[in-house]
Amino acid sequence: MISGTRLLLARLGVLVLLAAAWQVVALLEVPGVRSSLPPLTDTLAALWGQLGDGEFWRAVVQTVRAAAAGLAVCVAGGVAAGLILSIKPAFYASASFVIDFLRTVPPLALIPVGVLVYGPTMRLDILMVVIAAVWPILLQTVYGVRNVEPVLLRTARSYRIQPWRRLVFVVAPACAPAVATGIRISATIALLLALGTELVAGSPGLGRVIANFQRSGALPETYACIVLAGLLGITLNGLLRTAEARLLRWHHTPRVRAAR
Amino acid sequence: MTGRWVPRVLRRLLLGAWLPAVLVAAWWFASEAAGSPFFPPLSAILDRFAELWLFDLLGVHVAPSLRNLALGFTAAVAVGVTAGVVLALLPTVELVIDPVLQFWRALPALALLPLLLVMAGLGTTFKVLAIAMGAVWPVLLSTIDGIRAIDPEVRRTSRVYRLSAGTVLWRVLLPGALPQIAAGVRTSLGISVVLMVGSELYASSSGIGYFVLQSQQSYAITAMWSGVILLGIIGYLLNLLYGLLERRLLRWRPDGQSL
Repeated sequence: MISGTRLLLARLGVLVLLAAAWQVVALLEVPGVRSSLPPLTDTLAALWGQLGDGEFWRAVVQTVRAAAAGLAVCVAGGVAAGLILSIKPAFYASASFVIDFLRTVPPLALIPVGVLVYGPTMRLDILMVVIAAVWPILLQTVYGVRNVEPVLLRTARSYRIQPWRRLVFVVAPACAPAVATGIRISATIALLLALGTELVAGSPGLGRVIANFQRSGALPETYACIVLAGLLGITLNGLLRTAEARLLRWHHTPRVRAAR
Repeated sequence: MTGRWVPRVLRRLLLGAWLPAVLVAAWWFASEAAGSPFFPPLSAILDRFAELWLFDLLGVHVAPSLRNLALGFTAAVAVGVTAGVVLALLPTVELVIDPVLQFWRALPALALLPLLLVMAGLGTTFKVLAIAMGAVWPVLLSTIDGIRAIDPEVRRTSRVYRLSAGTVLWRVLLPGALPQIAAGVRTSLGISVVLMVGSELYASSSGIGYFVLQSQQSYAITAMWSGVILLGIIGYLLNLLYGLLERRLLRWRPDGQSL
């Protein structure tokens, strides 16, 4: 199995090959991609330009703020709702159709409604993020609570520990990994929705920047910003994973990574 | 007598149905009373829904939307499973191109819309491509994971029996990885619907998403809401149908469930 330096070199090789292919295809003006693929050099120049542009960073901050604010609401609401629904099986049974229905509504379908009410603003972004990203957290909370070791709960109860203490000191720590996974999934959705709302509705942020570049035909900038959006996604995901690993280091249960 | 289980089934039905009923009633009465232009009475919305979607505009908007969805989704699953199998069987290749895969996977699918629009222009290709490119990742990654998760003993046993490559693929690998693949396909379905709507909202001249946007822009509010409800129903039905399909496909497994 290839590893170490050879792996690194092989990976670099692949990247170099792809870059070369891009440049060649763009420069050769292959019919079909002629007008839609700017040379890699132009794109890299545009990328560099964007990184130095205050406008760009302002847009990034707007997107991240919208996603983060929405995510915060999702965490608060989703965990609370998940815990409430887990008190009795009948509660979850009552809500299960509503949850199943609402979470399959394509969130973007509500953008026109949102635009009417809020206009293309950050509040619209946050609303869309909340609508779309609350479900993984809610479902993971329910799942986590359901899977708390019964022995733990029974022990706590036989020690006559009060219900709220059981919640804070037994249930909450036990379902922390499941909730953390939910938060990570929701964070990806949050960023996706923030960008998507900005793209489609024109609310302030990186999505709007990309849409504007595309509509005005500034191709290298469009490509550059999309690449940067991807890097943003990777960075946020990486940060969340590190935070998760750090904060949950005390957890004893070996966890299977459900999502890559 | 059947008196024993009837109450139980009925009770379960009521348990699942009371909350939706209450919420719909609340929407009905609240919208009736509020008189807000953006939230018309539910009765008016439902009337419009019947007018438009049963069955006049089905062909004009619903059919193209669903067709694009079907094309994009099928392409994504086909490419995803095939590429997933190939990469799972060639671990070195997978390791080497992993950074590229991770980058594409992390790229928010909606961000690709402007790019694809430039490449494919307005029209069906753009939408189908958008759906396919966004939906391929969960399938691809879960196929790789699923095949990798198959017990090595199983692979070695098939070699001992000198099974042909085709047999190994169809009778061993794919069934073994099926729960994972099914879970990935389920996620893909959700992404496909999101991208279908997204591509129609961003740049399209047909489709339910386009209809909703156009209604909003021309202030045909009841029509807009009817479109939104239609999208909700479609999303729910697709998921439901897929759930049934999944359960059927995985029935032979001892655990009976997907992951």
